[in-house]
Amino acid sequence: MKLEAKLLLCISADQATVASWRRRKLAECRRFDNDEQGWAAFSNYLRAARGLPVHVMVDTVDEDFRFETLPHARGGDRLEMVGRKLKQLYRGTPYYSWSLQERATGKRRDDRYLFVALTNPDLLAPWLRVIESNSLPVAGVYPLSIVSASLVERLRLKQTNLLIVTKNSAGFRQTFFKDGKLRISRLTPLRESRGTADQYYADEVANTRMYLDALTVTHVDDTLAVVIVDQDDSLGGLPAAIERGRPNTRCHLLHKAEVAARLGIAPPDLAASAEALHLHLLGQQKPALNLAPAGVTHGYRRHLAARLVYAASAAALLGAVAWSGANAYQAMKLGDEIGNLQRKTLEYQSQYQQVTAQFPQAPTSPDNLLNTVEAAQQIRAGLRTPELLFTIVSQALDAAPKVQLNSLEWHYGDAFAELDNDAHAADASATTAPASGTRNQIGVINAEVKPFNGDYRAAIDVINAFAAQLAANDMVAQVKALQLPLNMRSDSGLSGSTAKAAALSGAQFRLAVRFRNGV
Amino acid sequence: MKITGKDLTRLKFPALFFLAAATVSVVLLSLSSGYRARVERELLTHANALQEARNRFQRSGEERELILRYLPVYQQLGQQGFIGPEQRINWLEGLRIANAEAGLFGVDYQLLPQEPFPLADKSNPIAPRVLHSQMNLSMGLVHEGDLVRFLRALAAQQAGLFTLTSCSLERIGQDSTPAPRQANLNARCNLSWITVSREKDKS
Repeated sequence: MKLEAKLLLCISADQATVASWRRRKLAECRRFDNDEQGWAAFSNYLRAARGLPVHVMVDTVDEDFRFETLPHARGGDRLEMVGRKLKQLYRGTPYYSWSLQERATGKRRDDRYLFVALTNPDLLAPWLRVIESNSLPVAGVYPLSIVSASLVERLRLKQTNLLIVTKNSAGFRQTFFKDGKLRISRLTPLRESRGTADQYYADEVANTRMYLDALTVTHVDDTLAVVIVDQDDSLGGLPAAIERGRPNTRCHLLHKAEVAARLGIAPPDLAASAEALHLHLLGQQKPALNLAPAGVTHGYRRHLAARLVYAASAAALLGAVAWSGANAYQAMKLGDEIGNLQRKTLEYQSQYQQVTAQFPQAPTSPDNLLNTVEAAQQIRAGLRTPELLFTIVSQALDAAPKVQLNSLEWHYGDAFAELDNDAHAADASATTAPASGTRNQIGVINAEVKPFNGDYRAAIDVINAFAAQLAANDMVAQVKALQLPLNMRSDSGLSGSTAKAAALSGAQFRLAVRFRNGV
Repeated sequence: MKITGKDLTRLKFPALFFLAAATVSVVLLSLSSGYRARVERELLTHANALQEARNRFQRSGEERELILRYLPVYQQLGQQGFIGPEQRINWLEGLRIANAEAGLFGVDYQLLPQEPFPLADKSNPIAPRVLHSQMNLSMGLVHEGDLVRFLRALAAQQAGLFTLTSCSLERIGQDSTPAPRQANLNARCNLSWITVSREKDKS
């Protein structure tokens, strides 16, 4: 914000001096009389400065500086108490402010405040009206003495009792600092006669000294340092005049050239106006105390809000451009890398073409050749026929002449699980179940024991012997009875007739045979 | 700060400027990020292509070995009708010859429409292209040995690759002693004729 262009206005009883502040330099110091013509000319001047914020400095005798001691308070309580005090003190003006200076050394540790006010708001009114009519924002209203406070820091003045003396259009200004903090400021009229002016100003300094002593701000034996900022080299005889009157006063005169050099003001700028020095200080640094009420600075806050929005917009845009630039740069680098990859790929493809040109012509890719042949080999290896089942069943039948075969089923797959659901009888031989998903040969034998005279025990013995014969083969993993002539399970009912049983032609049963994996 | 109508009027242009700047920023970011993401994807694609080309070149020796080793078998499978469209005439011709060679009384067949082969090895990349047509056979046998001879004869025809899934034998009549020169058993078999469809593009 320090680089921001702004208008600097110094208002005194007779006139106003305005200057623009651009690139940390004063420009175009213009003076306007405090009358209708001056206000009109000022208005014309402002038309060319549309949008610039105005910082107002006031150099007037209608000011008040009070050093007050109040009970210690913090936060909202302090604001309320100080606000109440300010309203009591300054009923006739809205231009006042305060600053906490120090804590008292007493037991209560009270707070000591500096109250500052411009007691004649009418002095400002016409100028502020002109500014408002030109829609310019007012950033603040500052007494000239508050602006002078920056001299202490800029000139590195460390004296305990320091009186800074300047001569402006409005008069002879004396501002007193105790331990670097502003305490009082006085403005007295100018004396034009060079011959008597120095003594007159020296007397004013002596008066100020007596006033300070009376206030017990200084002791009569204290040494007072007087720094005379002689911006137009007209106060050359003042130090001697002061020191003659009061021996414990140390004067230091800053000539025009020294002022320009130490404060960084171009000599022509300093010579442009009696207010140039303070306008320059105001341009360089915003004073700590702003006396403008919220109603006056409302436009400035709006101005700041607008600038904040512009700054945010610019930041967003800049960020986006920077980010996009980074993206584009990365993309370009990646593009180069892609080019390299493409070139290398083409090289490998070319080399591959050269090598494969010497290969035998194949109708498909080598991988597909391999996969197709492997698939065919797997299918061929998986071919099974019921021949093995026929052989095993024939051998078992040879050993069991009472068993007559009715039908035979053969499956090659995962059908054993389904057969399990049909099996309600006990296993004829116990083995492990096949792993799920593997293909096995399964045989299902439908046969009967013949002749059968109703002796179920004998028939089941024959069936068990037949099943044992089947299971004896090494390639058989399991033989399971799916159905027996008699359902012996306790969880199912059973009915029949011993007379009918004798008339049955055979005892029918059903066995399942599962071969080992891989058979 | 109390906002007044005048404030809103004065802040209108900055707000519009902010809106425009935000829009331009979002568009810029979106376009540039999209462009970068697209280039990154392209880079990945080209990196994979390079890796594939490099691997392919490095494996060219193996490819030569594969071609030399498997091309004759592949061509033989093609001649047997395992690769490409089904050779149903060959299958029926094989049935006819196998029936004659096994001395059967005739084979009834029913061929179902082609569909994916469910028992294909899923680890083989060509598994999705392995198809089968189920054939249901029914025939009369003097004894069970005829079925074995018939199946051997059918395989020997090399009319195609098939796998047998089930067979059942059922006695015709109640006599335990089979009569010569007549069908004593009725056999039913299910087999699958298996083919591999050609790949659309040669890889």
